[in-house]
Amino acid sequence: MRRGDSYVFGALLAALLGASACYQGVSANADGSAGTTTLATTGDLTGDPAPTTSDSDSDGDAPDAPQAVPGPTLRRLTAAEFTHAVQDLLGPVSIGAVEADSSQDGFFAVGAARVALSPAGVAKYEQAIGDATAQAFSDPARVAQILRCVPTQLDDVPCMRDALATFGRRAWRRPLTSVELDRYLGIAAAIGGETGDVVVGLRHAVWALLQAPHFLYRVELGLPSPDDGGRLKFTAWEMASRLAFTLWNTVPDEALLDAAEADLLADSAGVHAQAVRMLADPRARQGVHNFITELYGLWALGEKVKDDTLFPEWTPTLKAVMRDELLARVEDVVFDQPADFFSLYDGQKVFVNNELAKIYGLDEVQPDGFRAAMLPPDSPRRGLIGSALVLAMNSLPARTSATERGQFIAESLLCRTVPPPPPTVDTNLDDGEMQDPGPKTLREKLEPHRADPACSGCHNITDPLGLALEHFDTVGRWRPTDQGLTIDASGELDGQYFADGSELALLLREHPVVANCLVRKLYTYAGGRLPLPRETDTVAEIEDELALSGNRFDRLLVALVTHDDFRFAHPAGTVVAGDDSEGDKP
Amino acid sequence: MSRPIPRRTVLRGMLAGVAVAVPLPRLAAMLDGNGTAYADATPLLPRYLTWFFGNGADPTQWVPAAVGQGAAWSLSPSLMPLAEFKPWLSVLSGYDVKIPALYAHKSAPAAVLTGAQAAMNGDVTAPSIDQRIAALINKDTAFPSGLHVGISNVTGAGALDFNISFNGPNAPNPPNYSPAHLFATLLSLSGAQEPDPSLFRRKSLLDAVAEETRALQHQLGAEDRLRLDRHLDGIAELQTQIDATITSADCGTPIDPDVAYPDRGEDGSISLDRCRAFADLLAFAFSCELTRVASFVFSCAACHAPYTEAGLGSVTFHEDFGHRLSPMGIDYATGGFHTGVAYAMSGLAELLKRLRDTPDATGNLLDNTAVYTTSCVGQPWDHRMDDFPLLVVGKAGGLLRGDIHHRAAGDNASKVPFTLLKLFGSPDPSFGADEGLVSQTIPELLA
Repeated sequence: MRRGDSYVFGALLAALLGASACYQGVSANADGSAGTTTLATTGDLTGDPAPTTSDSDSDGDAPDAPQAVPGPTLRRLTAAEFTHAVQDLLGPVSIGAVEADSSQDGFFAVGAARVALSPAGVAKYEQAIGDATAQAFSDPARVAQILRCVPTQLDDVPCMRDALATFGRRAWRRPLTSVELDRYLGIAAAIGGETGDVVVGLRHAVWALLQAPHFLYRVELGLPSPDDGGRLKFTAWEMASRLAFTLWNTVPDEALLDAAEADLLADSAGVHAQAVRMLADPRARQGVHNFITELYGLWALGEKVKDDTLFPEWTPTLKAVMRDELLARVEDVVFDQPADFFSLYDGQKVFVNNELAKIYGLDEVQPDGFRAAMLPPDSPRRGLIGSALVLAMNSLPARTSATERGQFIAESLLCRTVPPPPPTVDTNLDDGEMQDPGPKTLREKLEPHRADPACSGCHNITDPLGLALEHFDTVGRWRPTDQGLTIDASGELDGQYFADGSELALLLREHPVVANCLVRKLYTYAGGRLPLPRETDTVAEIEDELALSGNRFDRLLVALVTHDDFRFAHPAGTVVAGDDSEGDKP
Repeated sequence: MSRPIPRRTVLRGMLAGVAVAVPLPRLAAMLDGNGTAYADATPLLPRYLTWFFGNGADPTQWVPAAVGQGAAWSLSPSLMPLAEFKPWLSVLSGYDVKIPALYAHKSAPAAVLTGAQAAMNGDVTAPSIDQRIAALINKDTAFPSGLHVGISNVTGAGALDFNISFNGPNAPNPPNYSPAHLFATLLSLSGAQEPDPSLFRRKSLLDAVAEETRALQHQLGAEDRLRLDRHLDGIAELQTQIDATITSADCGTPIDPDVAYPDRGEDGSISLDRCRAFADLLAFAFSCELTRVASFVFSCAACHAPYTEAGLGSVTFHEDFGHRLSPMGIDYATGGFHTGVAYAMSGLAELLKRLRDTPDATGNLLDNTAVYTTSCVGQPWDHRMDDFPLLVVGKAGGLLRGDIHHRAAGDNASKVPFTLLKLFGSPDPSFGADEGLVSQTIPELLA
């Protein structure tokens, strides 16, 4: 087949992508998850559905039945948490592969609360931690940084005890009991004696401490609190751990542990003080990076391929700078300005090097460097949905995908559920349509999907939004036409007309559900499970705090971690009435 | 059910007061005169492997034209790469996945691996066939849960994630993508290296970790206790492997993939050299009975990886060929899909070759293995679940007939894994759940 023919033919074939992308989208969320689950199925739930979407919350047809809530569950450290924690404890070390995270409900954080480690995963931890401790302990200067006291003699038990007690407190996020401390002291003494080197003994004790479940899992179980209505209250140590992993994506520092030890995290005010301190620390950027990486599925960028015959621009360095740019935009809004988080949704401040500047149609500069730049005010490109990363991540190798792009907007920004496709859907058009030789725009090609009742449930949610971005090709470059045809990028979002992607971005910023959606996503990430129906009020209260702060994300984090539902849990199986009486949030 | 090790020839050792025992490779000299049992009359245990490829097959190219045994049937175009293994090959055609396709790319693979519907979150709801068989025949090996390897680590459309082996819901055995890593592990168990005195130290650390884990379990709810049970299983497996390292049997040395296949490509990329590297290592592990159960993911369900080596460019196989969306046109896409399926079968052939070329008992490993081969979908562009791709390769110690194309139009695909489960001695009267439930095997498969 000649290339010219195939191009036209391919354009026709692209009509099919709607159906296939719908399939793909439903099972691989545009928000980065590897599986769309819209019901809370975690813990000891009765199986009552907990809708993820504010839309489905709001129908209010039937009040929620009383629900047995899940109790606190163990959460295995995600690979990112593990890496950050080991490097905080041991200093810079290379860390071998550990068992891959599993994304559920769009987040590794949720998979970490449900999925069991495989036997091979245990062996990977043993090896990775063994290698990391061997590297760190090969340098005496490093050992002096890791251990508060470095003994020179095997009989210097007080020093060994001090070293392991302080290291253990940091690694396990709580003091070791005397029985526990004796166990690791015993390991250090035995292996120190056997090898004639007390530091080798201590290295093995550290190796064991880091293989223990108290390091590898977040053990945050709470204690019954009779003054708090039978709820479980997270201990000060557990609060330190929750704060550190939520805000920093790593273990607590000494100051936070000292606050726990002084019982300063028992109330909202104490948590507030620490949260404010922690958000001023550079590790807060690491924490926000990780949330954004999970929320937008940036971890999948590495495997995103483009047809290299059509898009030779798609290089590893371009992919890397696209990712850096998205994170830089977030950092700018959250930390550097700081500003209204939703200015991300319609802003025109971008970050580029020369490679990305070409994609954005901006001038190159010499010498090249990663820098902030402003798009012209009349640029058709605005906000997150105009970022190269979002456009390219949610496209196919050779073509755009209105369905994937629309799904990103619907699910990640509006918390809308794209319904599953019907079981017998055919992803191909019939041969008659296949043989129609005329070029069509993507809008025309997708028309059958929105007209066919079997397809429209999915495509009417995604396609009108995604079609707004048709002016941007599969790597995110502006294009005036599609195969020479005029692009109609107009549409409606909940009754509001938009002429193109830039106007859609403006509508998204002002949309009444984006704040609620962001809070729900953060709540899911921080809690390791979807919000339950009874937590609708919790989400609404945090959303109110967000609004009062002028939509500052740092304030949102403070509102989250100081909220009662971050500091308390219900015992597993407690029946808590649904709270539909006051009506759900939008 | 655990087979006590003394039932067969073992190498015994006493090191630092720790009694250890590990199986020696199974050689004809240990067997009875017929080569069908050990000298003490313990029957031989065949090996089991699930071999999975994503994106299905086109029945018009996959299903052989004629049915029957031996000369009565010939290989189809998609199966031509398996030509030299026809004597060991059983093609099951016409079988349908009866589980409703509630979740695209999830329901079908969950059904053929576990007999049951997938969970909405993309996990399975029951253990996979390899883990059911491992519980029957693998507990006395160094890897009781089996060895699990993978070629492509590119995600699919969500589906079952990368995994095809599940101990149960939320308990996957993720594949190892690194032949170099597996080589290092097997080398330490091969008897080719001097045991390191640090091994005892590692064991003592694991003892402490196990003690902490059990103590923690008392504070937890049922689901978390189960998760930590699995963690404890992992600790026990690792200690078994350390024991096996201390007094390893002399199985020779596994083939070093960095020497044999230096240009095999990165971990997670698809190449036949990567298939060869894992095939060498799995054949070694089977030969030495370091495990009797394994799984091999060529590509995951709805895999998005490119089949570049097959001449199909750098685009995703799933979309451009599985869904025939290539801009080069539908003829190119259809032809490319057929090329890709044959390429996957070439990857399978590399494993079968090594099994056939590795002596075992009185024959070879392929004589003594059952390789169950399947996918995530039937014909992919319509997401069909009828006439599903299902192969069984090997003779399973003489229990399987081989060289047969058996067609049972409309029959339940769960019968294939159930037949294998029974073959490995399960007393269970049925397999699967709901529409996937079966209580009958496929007698035509058996010798």
